[in-house]
Amino acid sequence: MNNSAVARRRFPLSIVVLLAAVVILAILPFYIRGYWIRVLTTLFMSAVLAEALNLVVGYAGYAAFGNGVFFGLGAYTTAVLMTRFGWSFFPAMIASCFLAATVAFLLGWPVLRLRGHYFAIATIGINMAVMEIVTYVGITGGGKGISLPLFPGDIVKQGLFFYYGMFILLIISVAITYWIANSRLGYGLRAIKTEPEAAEVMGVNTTLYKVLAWSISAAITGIAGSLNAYWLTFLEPLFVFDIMISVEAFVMVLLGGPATIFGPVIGAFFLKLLSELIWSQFTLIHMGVLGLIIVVITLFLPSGIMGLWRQMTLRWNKANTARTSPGSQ
Amino acid sequence: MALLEVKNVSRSFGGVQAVNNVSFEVNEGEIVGLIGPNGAGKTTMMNLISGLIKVNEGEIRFQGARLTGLKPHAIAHKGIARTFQIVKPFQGMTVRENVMMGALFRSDLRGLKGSAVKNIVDEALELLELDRRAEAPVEELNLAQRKHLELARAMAMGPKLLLLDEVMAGLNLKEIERLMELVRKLNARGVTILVIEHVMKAVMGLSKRVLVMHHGSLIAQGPPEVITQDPKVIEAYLGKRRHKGLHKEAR
Repeated sequence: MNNSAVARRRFPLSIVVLLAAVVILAILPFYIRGYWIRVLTTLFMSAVLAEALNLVVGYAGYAAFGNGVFFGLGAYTTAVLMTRFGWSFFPAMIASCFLAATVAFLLGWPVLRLRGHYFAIATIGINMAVMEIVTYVGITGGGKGISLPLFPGDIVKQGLFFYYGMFILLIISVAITYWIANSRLGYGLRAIKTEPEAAEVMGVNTTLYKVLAWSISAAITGIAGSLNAYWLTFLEPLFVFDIMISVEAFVMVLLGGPATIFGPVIGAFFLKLLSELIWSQFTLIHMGVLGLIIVVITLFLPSGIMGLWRQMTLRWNKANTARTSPGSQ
Repeated sequence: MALLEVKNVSRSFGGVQAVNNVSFEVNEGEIVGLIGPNGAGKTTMMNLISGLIKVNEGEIRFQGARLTGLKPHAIAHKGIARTFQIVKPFQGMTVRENVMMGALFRSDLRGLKGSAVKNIVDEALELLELDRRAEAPVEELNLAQRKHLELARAMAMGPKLLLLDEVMAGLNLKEIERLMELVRKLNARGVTILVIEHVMKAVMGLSKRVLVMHHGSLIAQGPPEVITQDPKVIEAYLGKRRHKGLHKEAR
Protein backbone atom coordinates (compact mmCIF):
# COMPACT_ATOMS: atom_id res chain seq x y z
CA MET A 1 0.00 0.00 0.00
CA ASN A 2 3.09 2.20 0.30
CA ASN A 3 2.81 3.90 -3.05
CA SER A 4 6.26 5.41 -3.37
CA ALA A 5 5.40 7.46 -6.47
CA VAL A 6 2.57 9.20 -4.65
CA ALA A 7 4.76 9.69 -1.58
CA ARG A 8 7.49 11.31 -3.68
CA ARG A 9 5.04 13.73 -5.25
CA ARG A 10 3.68 14.73 -1.84
CA PHE A 11 7.13 14.94 -0.30
CA PRO A 12 7.70 18.73 -0.60
CA LEU A 13 4.28 19.61 0.81
CA SER A 14 4.61 17.30 3.79
CA ILE A 15 8.08 18.67 4.51
CA VAL A 16 6.71 22.23 4.53
CA VAL A 17 3.87 21.27 6.88
CA LEU A 18 6.31 19.42 9.13
CA LEU A 19 8.78 22.30 9.32
CA ALA A 20 5.97 24.74 10.04
CA ALA A 21 4.70 22.54 12.87
CA VAL A 22 8.19 22.25 14.35
CA VAL A 23 8.81 26.01 14.18
CA ILE A 24 5.40 26.83 15.68
CA LEU A 25 5.88 24.38 18.55
CA ALA A 26 9.41 25.68 19.11
CA ILE A 27 8.36 29.32 19.56
CA LEU A 28 4.99 28.62 21.16
CA PRO A 29 6.22 28.75 24.82
CA PHE A 30 6.88 32.49 24.43
CA TYR A 31 3.22 33.10 23.74
CA ILE A 32 1.36 30.72 26.05
CA ARG A 33 0.80 30.44 29.79
CA GLY A 34 2.25 27.89 32.22
CA TYR A 35 -0.85 25.70 32.14
CA TRP A 36 -0.70 25.16 28.36
CA ILE A 37 3.04 24.60 28.51
CA ARG A 38 2.38 21.78 30.94
CA VAL A 39 -0.39 20.37 28.75
CA LEU A 40 1.87 20.37 25.68
CA THR A 41 4.75 18.82 27.65
CA THR A 42 2.48 15.92 28.67
CA LEU A 43 1.28 15.70 25.11
CA PHE A 44 4.84 15.43 23.76
CA MET A 45 5.54 12.73 26.32
CA SER A 46 2.48 10.72 25.27
CA ALA A 47 3.50 11.09 21.64
CA VAL A 48 7.01 9.82 22.48
CA LEU A 49 5.56 6.78 24.29
CA ALA A 50 3.22 6.06 21.37
CA GLU A 51 5.98 6.51 18.80
CA ALA A 52 8.23 4.11 20.74
CA LEU A 53 5.43 1.57 21.12
CA ASN A 54 4.74 1.84 17.38
CA LEU A 55 8.10 0.23 16.62
CA VAL A 56 7.02 -2.97 18.36
CA VAL A 57 3.25 -2.88 17.82
CA GLY A 58 3.05 -1.19 14.41
CA TYR A 59 6.13 -2.41 12.61
CA ALA A 60 6.91 -5.81 14.18
CA GLY A 61 3.27 -6.59 15.01
CA TYR A 62 3.90 -7.59 18.63
CA ALA A 63 1.31 -6.40 21.15
CA ALA A 64 3.65 -5.09 23.88
CA PHE A 65 0.91 -4.26 26.36
CA GLY A 66 3.36 -3.87 29.23
CA ASN A 67 5.76 -1.49 27.47
CA GLY A 68 5.16 0.98 30.31
CA VAL A 69 7.59 -1.08 32.38
CA PHE A 70 10.45 0.75 30.65
CA PHE A 71 8.85 4.08 31.52
CA GLY A 72 8.85 3.05 35.18
CA LEU A 73 12.36 1.62 35.00
CA GLY A 74 13.68 4.82 33.43
CA ALA A 75 11.93 6.93 36.06
CA TYR A 76 13.20 4.88 38.99
CA THR A 77 16.75 4.58 37.67
CA THR A 78 16.96 8.36 37.43
CA ALA A 79 15.37 8.81 40.86
CA VAL A 80 17.69 6.35 42.61
CA LEU A 81 20.85 7.61 40.90
CA MET A 82 20.06 11.27 41.65
CA THR A 83 18.72 10.85 45.18
CA ARG A 84 20.84 8.04 46.59
CA PHE A 85 24.06 8.48 44.62
CA GLY A 86 24.03 12.21 43.96
CA TRP A 87 24.28 11.95 40.17
CA SER A 88 23.30 14.96 38.10
CA PHE A 89 20.35 14.65 35.72
CA PHE A 90 21.92 14.04 32.31
CA PRO A 91 24.21 11.14 33.30
CA ALA A 92 21.26 9.62 35.18
CA MET A 93 19.08 9.99 32.08
CA ILE A 94 21.64 8.25 29.88
CA ALA A 95 21.98 5.45 32.45
CA SER A 96 18.17 5.08 32.50
CA CYS A 97 18.13 4.79 28.72
CA PHE A 98 20.81 2.09 28.76
CA LEU A 99 19.20 0.14 31.59
CA ALA A 100 15.80 0.07 29.86
CA ALA A 101 17.37 -1.01 26.56
CA THR A 102 19.46 -3.70 28.26
CA VAL A 103 16.47 -5.15 30.12
CA ALA A 104 14.49 -5.28 26.86
CA PHE A 105 17.43 -6.85 25.06
CA LEU A 106 17.86 -9.61 27.67
CA LEU A 107 14.13 -10.29 28.14
CA GLY A 108 13.51 -10.10 24.40
CA TRP A 109 15.30 -13.35 23.53
CA PRO A 110 12.95 -15.58 25.55
CA VAL A 111 9.80 -13.42 25.48
CA LEU A 112 9.71 -12.48 21.78
CA ARG A 113 9.52 -16.15 20.86
CA LEU A 114 5.95 -16.05 22.15
CA ARG A 115 3.27 -15.21 19.62
CA GLY A 116 0.10 -13.15 19.79
CA HIS A 117 -1.74 -13.06 23.10
CA TYR A 118 1.02 -14.93 24.91
CA PHE A 119 3.50 -12.14 24.23
CA ALA A 120 0.99 -9.49 25.32
CA ILE A 121 0.33 -11.33 28.58
CA ALA A 122 4.06 -11.90 29.19
CA THR A 123 4.79 -8.17 28.89
CA ILE A 124 1.98 -7.35 31.32
CA GLY A 125 3.50 -9.93 33.67
CA ILE A 126 6.92 -8.27 33.38
CA ASN A 127 5.36 -4.90 34.17
CA MET A 128 3.68 -6.31 37.30
CA ALA A 129 6.78 -8.21 38.43
CA VAL A 130 9.08 -5.19 38.11
CA MET A 131 6.54 -3.03 39.96
CA GLU A 132 6.49 -5.52 42.83
CA ILE A 133 10.29 -5.64 42.94
CA VAL A 134 10.51 -1.84 43.04
CA THR A 135 7.88 -1.75 45.79
CA TYR A 136 9.73 -4.19 48.05
CA VAL A 137 13.34 -3.14 47.50
CA GLY A 138 14.68 -0.63 50.05
CA ILE A 139 16.80 1.52 47.75
CA THR A 140 13.79 2.68 45.72
CA GLY A 141 11.91 3.94 48.77
CA GLY A 142 9.37 1.14 48.29
CA GLY A 143 5.64 1.78 48.35
CA LYS A 144 6.10 5.14 50.13
CA GLY A 145 7.69 6.55 46.99
CA ILE A 146 10.86 8.53 46.39
CA SER A 147 11.57 12.27 46.06
CA LEU A 148 14.00 13.67 43.51
CA PRO A 149 16.12 16.80 43.82
CA LEU A 150 14.26 19.87 42.61
CA PHE A 151 15.13 21.46 39.28
CA PRO A 152 17.49 24.39 39.94
CA GLY A 153 15.95 27.66 38.78
CA ASP A 154 12.56 29.34 38.86
CA ILE A 155 9.26 27.83 37.77
CA VAL A 156 9.31 29.44 34.30
CA LYS A 157 12.76 28.05 33.54
CA GLN A 158 11.67 24.67 34.84
CA GLY A 159 8.60 24.67 32.58
CA LEU A 160 10.70 25.57 29.53
CA PHE A 161 13.36 22.95 30.32
CA PHE A 162 10.85 20.10 30.35
CA TYR A 163 8.87 21.49 27.41
CA TYR A 164 11.97 21.56 25.20
CA GLY A 165 13.30 18.32 26.69
CA MET A 166 10.18 16.39 25.71
CA PHE A 167 9.95 18.25 22.39
CA ILE A 168 13.51 17.29 21.40
CA LEU A 169 12.90 13.70 22.53
CA LEU A 170 9.80 13.61 20.32
CA ILE A 171 11.77 14.87 17.31
CA ILE A 172 14.48 12.28 17.98
CA SER A 173 11.95 9.43 18.27
CA VAL A 174 10.25 10.48 15.01
CA ALA A 175 13.67 10.67 13.32
CA ILE A 176 14.56 7.19 14.60
CA THR A 177 11.23 5.83 13.31
CA TYR A 178 11.84 7.47 9.92
CA TRP A 179 15.31 5.93 9.75
CA ILE A 180 14.03 2.47 10.75
CA ALA A 181 11.08 2.58 8.32
CA ASN A 182 13.46 3.13 5.41
CA SER A 183 16.12 0.69 6.51
CA ARG A 184 16.67 -3.04 6.34
CA LEU A 185 15.40 -3.24 9.92
CA GLY A 186 12.06 -1.67 8.96
CA TYR A 187 11.50 -3.93 5.97
CA GLY A 188 12.50 -6.95 8.04
CA LEU A 189 10.03 -5.99 10.78
CA ARG A 190 7.15 -5.45 8.34
CA ALA A 191 7.88 -8.86 6.81
CA ILE A 192 7.98 -10.48 10.26
CA LYS A 193 4.60 -8.93 11.03
CA THR A 194 2.76 -10.76 8.23
CA GLU A 195 4.86 -13.83 7.33
CA PRO A 196 7.57 -14.60 9.90
CA GLU A 197 8.50 -17.95 8.30
CA ALA A 198 8.89 -16.46 4.84
CA ALA A 199 10.96 -13.62 6.31
CA GLU A 200 13.25 -16.10 8.06
CA VAL A 201 13.92 -18.23 4.97
CA MET A 202 14.63 -15.05 3.00
CA GLY A 203 17.55 -14.30 5.29
CA VAL A 204 15.99 -12.13 8.00
CA ASN A 205 17.35 -12.91 11.45
CA THR A 206 13.84 -12.59 12.88
CA THR A 207 14.65 -13.03 16.56
CA LEU A 208 17.48 -10.47 16.43
CA TYR A 209 15.33 -7.94 14.55
CA LYS A 210 12.46 -8.23 17.02
CA VAL A 211 14.85 -7.87 19.96
CA LEU A 212 16.49 -4.81 18.36
CA ALA A 213 13.12 -3.16 17.75
CA TRP A 214 12.02 -3.78 21.33
CA SER A 215 15.34 -2.50 22.72
CA ILE A 216 15.16 0.74 20.72
CA SER A 217 11.55 1.15 21.84
CA ALA A 218 12.60 0.56 25.47
CA ALA A 219 15.48 3.05 25.22
CA ILE A 220 13.17 5.85 24.05
CA THR A 221 10.52 4.93 26.64
CA GLY A 222 13.20 4.87 29.35
CA ILE A 223 14.34 8.44 28.54
CA ALA A 224 10.72 9.62 28.64
CA GLY A 225 10.34 8.02 32.07
CA SER A 226 13.57 9.65 33.24
CA LEU A 227 12.52 13.14 32.12
CA ASN A 228 9.09 12.64 33.62
CA ALA A 229 10.58 11.62 36.98
CA TYR A 230 12.73 14.75 37.17
CA TRP A 231 9.72 16.83 36.19
CA LEU A 232 7.36 15.32 38.79
CA THR A 233 10.07 15.16 41.52
CA PHE A 234 8.10 12.44 43.30
CA LEU A 235 7.57 8.82 42.23
CA GLU A 236 5.37 5.99 43.40
CA PRO A 237 5.48 2.46 41.92
CA LEU A 238 1.71 2.41 41.40
CA PHE A 239 1.91 5.61 39.39
CA VAL A 240 4.84 5.02 37.00
CA PHE A 241 4.12 1.33 36.44
CA ASP A 242 0.42 1.97 35.81
CA ILE A 243 -0.78 -0.33 33.01
CA MET A 244 -2.92 2.57 31.73
CA ILE A 245 0.26 4.28 30.47
CA SER A 246 0.72 1.41 28.01
CA VAL A 247 -2.96 1.17 27.17
CA GLU A 248 -3.18 4.88 26.38
CA ALA A 249 -0.10 4.71 24.14
CA PHE A 250 -1.65 1.68 22.44
CA VAL A 251 -4.84 3.60 21.68
CA MET A 252 -2.78 6.47 20.25
CA VAL A 253 -0.90 4.09 17.94
CA LEU A 254 -4.11 2.46 16.71
CA LEU A 255 -5.92 5.76 16.36
CA GLY A 256 -3.14 7.49 14.45
CA GLY A 257 -2.14 4.54 12.29
CA PRO A 258 0.21 1.68 13.18
CA ALA A 259 3.41 1.26 11.13
CA THR A 260 3.35 4.87 9.97
CA ILE A 261 5.95 7.49 10.89
CA PHE A 262 3.62 10.25 12.09
CA GLY A 263 0.53 8.20 12.94
CA PRO A 264 1.27 7.76 16.65
CA VAL A 265 2.09 11.48 17.02
CA ILE A 266 -1.19 12.43 15.35
CA GLY A 267 -3.02 9.89 17.52
CA ALA A 268 -1.44 11.36 20.65
CA PHE A 269 -2.32 14.96 19.72
CA PHE A 270 -5.85 13.96 18.83
CA LEU A 271 -6.54 11.97 21.98
CA LYS A 272 -4.76 14.30 24.40
CA LEU A 273 -6.23 17.53 23.08
CA LEU A 274 -9.66 15.94 23.00
CA SER A 275 -9.36 14.82 26.59
CA GLU A 276 -7.93 18.17 27.65
CA LEU A 277 -10.55 20.27 25.89
CA ILE A 278 -13.71 18.26 26.40
CA TRP A 279 -13.70 15.91 29.31
CA SER A 280 -10.86 16.93 31.60
CA GLN A 281 -13.43 17.59 34.33
CA PHE A 282 -15.06 14.18 34.11
CA THR A 283 -12.28 11.84 35.21
CA LEU A 284 -14.60 8.85 35.51
CA ILE A 285 -16.16 9.22 32.07
CA HIS A 286 -12.65 9.66 30.63
CA MET A 287 -12.02 5.91 30.88
CA GLY A 288 -15.37 5.13 29.30
CA VAL A 289 -14.66 7.37 26.33
CA LEU A 290 -11.20 5.80 25.93
CA GLY A 291 -12.86 2.38 25.78
CA LEU A 292 -15.41 3.64 23.28
CA ILE A 293 -12.64 5.01 21.04
CA ILE A 294 -10.86 1.62 21.10
CA VAL A 295 -14.06 -0.11 19.99
CA VAL A 296 -14.74 2.43 17.24
CA ILE A 297 -11.19 2.25 15.87
CA THR A 298 -11.03 -1.53 15.75
CA LEU A 299 -14.42 -1.70 14.06
CA PHE A 300 -14.21 1.15 11.56
CA LEU A 301 -10.63 2.42 11.33
CA PRO A 302 -8.27 -0.58 11.33
CA SER A 303 -5.40 1.46 9.87
CA GLY A 304 -6.07 4.64 11.83
CA ILE A 305 -6.23 8.28 10.79
CA MET A 306 -3.18 7.85 8.51
CA GLY A 307 -4.87 4.94 6.74
CA LEU A 308 -8.00 7.02 6.21
CA TRP A 309 -5.89 9.92 4.90
CA ARG A 310 -3.99 7.62 2.52
CA GLN A 311 -7.22 6.14 1.16
CA MET A 312 -8.61 9.61 0.55
CA THR A 313 -5.48 10.87 -1.24
CA LEU A 314 -5.33 7.70 -3.36
CA ARG A 315 -8.93 8.15 -4.41
CA TRP A 316 -8.32 11.85 -5.07
CA ASN A 317 -5.21 11.08 -7.15
CA LYS A 318 -7.08 8.45 -9.17
CA ALA A 319 -9.94 10.83 -9.89
CA ASN A 320 -7.43 13.52 -10.80
CA THR A 321 -5.41 11.42 -13.25
CA ALA A 322 -8.63 10.14 -14.82
CA ARG A 323 -9.77 13.71 -15.38
CA THR A 324 -6.48 15.07 -16.75
CA SER A 325 -5.54 12.14 -18.99
CA PRO A 326 -8.54 10.06 -19.99
CA GLY A 327 -6.50 8.09 -22.55
CA SER A 328 -3.95 6.60 -20.16
CA GLN A 329 -4.77 3.89 -17.62
CA MET B 1 30.97 -33.45 -4.79
CA ALA B 2 27.22 -32.97 -4.95
CA LEU B 3 25.72 -29.53 -4.28
CA LEU B 4 23.28 -30.88 -1.70
CA GLU B 5 23.88 -34.06 0.27
CA VAL B 6 21.18 -35.52 2.49
CA LYS B 7 22.62 -38.32 4.62
CA ASN B 8 20.47 -40.72 6.67
CA VAL B 9 18.12 -37.94 7.76
CA SER B 10 15.25 -38.77 10.12
CA ARG B 11 12.61 -36.66 11.78
CA SER B 12 9.60 -37.67 13.84
CA PHE B 13 6.69 -35.74 15.31
CA GLY B 14 5.54 -37.46 18.49
CA GLY B 15 5.12 -41.07 17.39
CA VAL B 16 4.91 -40.33 13.68
CA GLN B 17 8.06 -40.94 11.66
CA ALA B 18 7.65 -38.16 9.06
CA VAL B 19 11.05 -38.69 7.46
CA ASN B 20 12.82 -42.00 7.98
CA ASN B 21 16.52 -42.48 7.19
CA VAL B 22 16.44 -40.65 3.87
CA SER B 23 19.60 -40.15 1.81
CA PHE B 24 19.96 -38.50 -1.58
CA GLU B 25 22.09 -36.03 -3.48
CA VAL B 26 21.36 -33.13 -5.79
CA ASN B 27 24.09 -32.22 -8.26
CA GLU B 28 24.88 -28.75 -9.50
CA GLY B 29 22.72 -27.65 -12.45
CA GLU B 30 20.11 -30.42 -12.07
CA ILE B 31 16.36 -30.20 -11.80
CA VAL B 32 15.37 -32.99 -9.42
CA GLY B 33 11.77 -33.95 -8.73
CA LEU B 34 10.55 -35.15 -5.34
CA ILE B 35 7.21 -36.94 -5.52
CA GLY B 36 5.08 -39.15 -3.33
CA PRO B 37 1.48 -39.56 -2.15
CA ASN B 38 -0.01 -37.17 0.45
CA GLY B 39 1.73 -37.48 3.79
CA ALA B 40 4.85 -39.03 2.29
CA GLY B 41 7.09 -36.48 4.05
CA LYS B 42 8.00 -34.30 1.08
CA THR B 43 7.25 -30.94 2.67
CA THR B 44 8.89 -32.07 5.92
CA MET B 45 12.00 -32.87 3.86
CA MET B 46 11.93 -29.37 2.42
CA ASN B 47 11.47 -27.82 5.87
CA LEU B 48 14.45 -29.85 7.11
CA ILE B 49 16.66 -28.55 4.28
CA SER B 50 15.63 -24.93 4.76
CA GLY B 51 16.02 -25.26 8.55
CA LEU B 52 12.44 -24.48 9.60
CA ILE B 53 12.35 -27.91 11.26
CA LYS B 54 15.27 -29.45 13.12
CA VAL B 55 16.78 -32.75 12.02
CA ASN B 56 16.56 -35.55 14.63
CA GLU B 57 19.23 -37.78 13.12
CA GLY B 58 21.58 -37.64 10.16
CA GLU B 59 22.98 -34.57 8.46
CA ILE B 60 22.46 -32.27 5.50
CA ARG B 61 25.42 -30.74 3.67
CA PHE B 62 25.48 -27.91 1.15
CA GLN B 63 28.62 -27.35 -0.95
CA GLY B 64 30.37 -29.64 1.50
CA ALA B 65 29.46 -27.58 4.60
CA ARG B 66 27.07 -28.78 7.29
CA LEU B 67 23.62 -27.15 7.32
CA THR B 68 22.28 -29.17 10.22
CA GLY B 69 21.86 -26.97 13.30
CA LEU B 70 21.92 -23.66 11.40
CA LYS B 71 19.03 -21.17 11.67
CA PRO B 72 16.89 -20.74 8.50
CA HIS B 73 18.25 -17.23 7.84
CA ALA B 74 21.82 -18.53 7.97
CA ILE B 75 20.89 -21.30 5.53
CA ALA B 76 19.33 -18.68 3.24
CA HIS B 77 22.59 -16.71 3.36
CA LYS B 78 24.44 -19.79 2.10
CA GLY B 79 22.41 -19.64 -1.13
CA ILE B 80 19.30 -21.75 -0.59
CA ALA B 81 15.95 -20.16 -1.46
CA ARG B 82 12.51 -21.73 -1.22
CA THR B 83 8.87 -21.14 -2.03
CA PHE B 84 5.89 -22.20 0.06
CA GLN B 85 3.07 -24.53 -0.90
CA ILE B 86 0.60 -21.99 0.48
CA VAL B 87 1.98 -18.70 -0.86
CA LYS B 88 3.21 -16.28 1.77
CA PRO B 89 3.34 -12.76 0.27
CA PHE B 90 4.21 -9.93 2.67
CA GLN B 91 0.89 -8.09 3.04
CA GLY B 92 0.91 -4.31 3.07
CA MET B 93 3.83 -4.13 0.66
CA THR B 94 3.92 -3.64 -3.10
CA VAL B 95 5.05 -6.38 -5.48
CA ARG B 96 8.37 -4.56 -5.86
CA GLU B 97 8.88 -4.33 -2.10
CA ASN B 98 8.15 -8.04 -1.77
CA VAL B 99 10.84 -8.87 -4.30
CA MET B 100 13.17 -6.33 -2.69
CA MET B 101 12.97 -8.38 0.53
CA GLY B 102 14.89 -11.08 -1.31
CA ALA B 103 17.67 -8.72 -2.37
CA LEU B 104 17.92 -6.68 0.86
CA PHE B 105 19.01 -9.53 3.08
CA ARG B 106 21.54 -11.19 0.78
CA SER B 107 24.79 -11.79 2.60
CA ASP B 108 26.79 -10.88 -0.53
CA LEU B 109 25.14 -7.47 -0.85
CA ARG B 110 25.74 -6.15 2.68
CA GLY B 111 26.80 -2.53 2.49
CA LEU B 112 25.97 -2.13 -1.18
CA LYS B 113 23.88 0.85 -2.19
CA GLY B 114 20.34 0.98 -3.53
CA SER B 115 21.21 0.82 -7.23
CA ALA B 116 22.62 -2.71 -6.96
CA VAL B 117 19.50 -3.80 -5.09
CA LYS B 118 17.27 -2.06 -7.64
CA ASN B 119 18.97 -3.82 -10.57
CA ILE B 120 18.51 -7.22 -8.96
CA VAL B 121 14.85 -6.49 -8.21
CA ASP B 122 14.16 -5.23 -11.74
CA GLU B 123 15.79 -8.31 -13.23
CA ALA B 124 13.81 -10.70 -11.02
CA LEU B 125 10.54 -8.88 -11.76
CA GLU B 126 11.18 -9.06 -15.49
CA LEU B 127 12.29 -12.69 -15.37
CA LEU B 128 9.05 -13.74 -13.68
CA GLU B 129 6.93 -11.44 -15.89
CA LEU B 130 5.81 -9.24 -13.00
CA ASP B 131 7.37 -5.97 -14.18
CA ARG B 132 3.99 -4.55 -15.20
CA ARG B 133 2.55 -5.21 -11.75
CA ALA B 134 5.61 -3.97 -9.84
CA GLU B 135 3.95 -1.04 -8.09
CA ALA B 136 0.67 -2.84 -7.33
CA PRO B 137 -0.19 -3.76 -3.75
CA VAL B 138 0.51 -7.47 -3.35
CA GLU B 139 -3.12 -8.07 -2.36
CA GLU B 140 -4.20 -7.36 -5.95
CA LEU B 141 -2.34 -10.33 -7.47
CA ASN B 142 -4.16 -13.51 -8.52
CA LEU B 143 -2.93 -16.96 -7.55
CA ALA B 144 -0.75 -17.50 -10.63
CA GLN B 145 0.85 -14.08 -10.14
CA ARG B 146 1.41 -14.83 -6.46
CA LYS B 147 3.21 -18.03 -7.44
CA HIS B 148 5.37 -15.99 -9.82
CA LEU B 149 6.02 -13.56 -6.97
CA GLU B 150 7.25 -16.40 -4.72
CA LEU B 151 9.72 -17.30 -7.46
CA ALA B 152 10.75 -13.68 -8.10
CA ARG B 153 11.45 -13.17 -4.39
CA ALA B 154 13.50 -16.34 -4.31
CA MET B 155 15.45 -15.35 -7.43
CA ALA B 156 16.25 -11.92 -5.97
CA MET B 157 18.12 -13.80 -3.25
CA GLY B 158 20.56 -14.97 -5.90
CA PRO B 159 20.25 -18.62 -4.88
CA LYS B 160 22.42 -21.55 -5.91
CA LEU B 161 19.70 -24.01 -4.92
CA LEU B 162 15.99 -23.35 -5.25
CA LEU B 163 13.43 -25.49 -3.42
CA LEU B 164 9.99 -25.37 -5.03
CA ASP B 165 7.15 -26.66 -2.86
CA GLU B 166 4.17 -27.43 -5.13
CA VAL B 167 4.31 -24.23 -7.16
CA MET B 168 1.90 -25.68 -9.72
CA ALA B 169 -0.87 -26.53 -7.25
CA GLY B 170 -4.12 -24.72 -8.03
CA LEU B 171 -3.04 -23.47 -11.46
CA ASN B 172 -4.80 -24.25 -14.73
CA LEU B 173 -3.14 -26.06 -17.64
CA LYS B 174 -2.07 -22.92 -19.46
CA GLU B 175 -0.59 -21.40 -16.30
CA ILE B 176 1.24 -24.64 -15.53
CA GLU B 177 2.84 -24.70 -18.98
CA ARG B 178 3.93 -21.08 -18.64
CA LEU B 179 5.40 -21.68 -15.18
CA MET B 180 7.22 -24.83 -16.39
CA GLU B 181 8.82 -22.71 -19.11
CA LEU B 182 9.94 -20.20 -16.47
CA VAL B 183 11.35 -22.88 -14.17
CA ARG B 184 13.43 -24.19 -17.11
CA LYS B 185 14.60 -20.62 -17.72
CA LEU B 186 15.73 -20.24 -14.10
CA ASN B 187 17.56 -23.55 -14.36
CA ALA B 188 19.27 -22.40 -17.57
CA ARG B 189 20.62 -19.44 -15.56
CA GLY B 190 22.55 -21.89 -13.41
CA VAL B 191 20.14 -22.40 -10.52
CA THR B 192 19.88 -25.96 -9.26
CA ILE B 193 16.27 -26.84 -8.52
CA LEU B 194 14.53 -29.37 -6.29
CA VAL B 195 10.79 -29.57 -7.05
CA ILE B 196 8.10 -31.14 -4.93
CA GLU B 197 5.12 -31.62 -7.14
CA HIS B 198 1.75 -33.33 -7.31
CA VAL B 199 1.15 -32.32 -10.91
CA MET B 200 2.80 -35.31 -12.61
CA LYS B 201 2.95 -33.66 -16.00
CA ALA B 202 5.06 -30.86 -14.53
CA VAL B 203 7.44 -32.94 -12.46
CA MET B 204 7.99 -35.54 -15.20
CA GLY B 205 8.44 -32.86 -17.84
CA LEU B 206 10.89 -30.80 -15.80
CA SER B 207 13.13 -33.28 -14.00
CA LYS B 208 15.76 -35.56 -15.42
CA ARG B 209 15.80 -37.41 -12.14
CA VAL B 210 12.94 -38.16 -9.77
CA LEU B 211 12.99 -39.17 -6.08
CA VAL B 212 9.96 -41.01 -4.71
CA MET B 213 9.01 -40.87 -1.02
CA HIS B 214 6.38 -42.99 0.70
CA HIS B 215 5.57 -43.12 4.43
CA GLY B 216 8.69 -41.06 5.17
CA SER B 217 11.12 -43.29 3.29
CA LEU B 218 12.78 -42.91 -0.06
CA ILE B 219 11.51 -45.90 -2.08
CA ALA B 220 12.89 -45.21 -5.54
CA GLN B 221 14.94 -42.79 -7.61
CA GLY B 222 15.83 -42.53 -11.27
CA PRO B 223 14.80 -41.01 -14.60
CA PRO B 224 11.05 -40.30 -14.96
CA GLU B 225 10.47 -43.06 -17.54
CA VAL B 226 11.98 -45.68 -15.24
CA ILE B 227 10.21 -44.39 -12.14
CA THR B 228 6.75 -44.60 -13.70
CA GLN B 229 7.32 -48.30 -14.44
CA ASP B 230 8.69 -49.13 -10.97
CA PRO B 231 6.24 -51.56 -9.24
CA LYS B 232 7.05 -50.09 -5.80
CA VAL B 233 6.09 -46.62 -7.00
CA ILE B 234 2.87 -47.82 -8.64
CA GLU B 235 2.02 -49.65 -5.43
CA ALA B 236 2.65 -46.52 -3.34
CA TYR B 237 0.31 -44.45 -5.49
CA LEU B 238 -2.38 -46.99 -6.33
CA GLY B 239 -2.21 -49.64 -3.60
CA LYS B 240 -1.53 -53.37 -3.84
CA ARG B 241 -4.82 -54.79 -5.08
CA ARG B 242 -5.31 -52.19 -7.74
CA HIS B 243 -1.77 -52.85 -8.85
CA LYS B 244 -2.49 -56.57 -9.37
CA GLY B 245 -5.58 -55.65 -11.33
CA LEU B 246 -3.54 -53.44 -13.58
CA HIS B 247 -1.14 -56.29 -14.13
CA LYS B 248 -3.91 -58.61 -15.29
CA GLU B 249 -5.28 -56.02 -17.66
CA ALA B 250 -1.84 -55.54 -19.12
CA ARG B 251 -1.59 -59.23 -19.89
